[in-house]
Amino acid sequence: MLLSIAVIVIGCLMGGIDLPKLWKNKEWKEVTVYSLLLLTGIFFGVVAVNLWEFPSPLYIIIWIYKPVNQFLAYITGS
Amino acid sequence: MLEQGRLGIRQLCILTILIIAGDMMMIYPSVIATYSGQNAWLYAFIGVPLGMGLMYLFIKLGDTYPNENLIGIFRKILGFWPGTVLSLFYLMYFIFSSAAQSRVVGDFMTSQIFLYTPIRAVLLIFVIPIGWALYNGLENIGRSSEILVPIITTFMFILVVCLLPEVQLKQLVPFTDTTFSQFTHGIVIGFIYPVGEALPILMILPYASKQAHRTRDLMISAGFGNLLMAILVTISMLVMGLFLTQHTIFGSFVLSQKINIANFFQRIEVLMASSWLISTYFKATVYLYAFVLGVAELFRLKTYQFLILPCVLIVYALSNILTPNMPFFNTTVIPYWLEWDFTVSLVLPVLLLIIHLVKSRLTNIKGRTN
Repeated sequence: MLLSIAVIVIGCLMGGIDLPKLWKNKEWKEVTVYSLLLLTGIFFGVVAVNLWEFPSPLYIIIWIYKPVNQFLAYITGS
Repeated sequence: MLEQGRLGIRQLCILTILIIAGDMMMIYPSVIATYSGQNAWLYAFIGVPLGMGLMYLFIKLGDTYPNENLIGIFRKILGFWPGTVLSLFYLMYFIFSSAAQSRVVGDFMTSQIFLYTPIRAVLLIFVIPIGWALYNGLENIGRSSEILVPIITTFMFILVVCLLPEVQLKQLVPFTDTTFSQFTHGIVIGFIYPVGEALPILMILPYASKQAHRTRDLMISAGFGNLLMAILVTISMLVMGLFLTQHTIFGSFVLSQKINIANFFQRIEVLMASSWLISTYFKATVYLYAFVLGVAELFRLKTYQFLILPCVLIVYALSNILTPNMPFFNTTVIPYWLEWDFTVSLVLPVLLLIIHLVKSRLTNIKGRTN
């Protein structure tokens, strides 16, 4: 619990450093991109520091390249 | 233009060498020996000229639009939406690579040196300097790489020279019964795995000074970096033999533990590990820089500096959840990662160059008929 709170506080601090300047200049595209990245970071950070079971993002790569890998293995006969 | 700093040509070459050497120094011997068997050292040396050719391909791709970085090149060649989709694929490659390099450092530290430290702490200590380097900008990354590269080459030199008494030449005898699979894997891994991962220099190529012999220098540095790796594979095969090279994950660490000259000059493995850490740090930094700059270019933002802090947080989190444990990464993911490298650094650039050639021919013909 303490670790999750720490990550959220650090995320809010990061937002507090960068966001007000962007908000003042009315750069809405920058604000959107920044908050999306920051929310992703905080979510994965909370998952990471608590050592929760989370499926590895590398399964995307395995899913994409599984047919290619099997085809190559079939050609080279290994 | 997003980046205001300018890199010198020497700094660019040194960064190339560091990207090639970083992370490969430990992993490369075991990977290439696992896939190609006894002749691994031969394939590693064959990979040197092939890697120089691959670097030439990268520079050709960068020269199609000299003032654009990789994302801009995709959009110019393919058009807006196909370029955006391809850019997202490459950005995923950059952030995953950066996280994977940090993760390998964490795995190495917690399994060899700091046995009782949780990996989250090691990763935090590794990731914060990456953010600091990015915050200080590209020029400072280049300058600090210039300072630190002699350490790496010196330690490599010490490693190779001090291991010469341990060499057994009969462990290098080639087998003639190489299978076709081993042959193709050896050739491909010999140049794709070290030099292909130098792809993010295409993101910093437009911000380097444009001199006449840039192509030559970059090709030489790619060849030099790959040659270092080939020498490492050879010395690993010579000292440890095939079986141990295949089955030790952190090969050069175990190699440097074997150094013992007159019972006095020994236990220098941490120096070797620190040189590996420095090069891996620069590799992860350049990958994360490519990601941050790519996001800024993708959304057409005016600056990229404000994106650094959340990106560092994402890298820290991703490097924790990327693999549940070390064997998952080293046995399950590595084959797919090799194919990912192959697609990203050879297949797609060649396709892009062909599309660019066809397009420029077509516009030439149109211009003539009009």
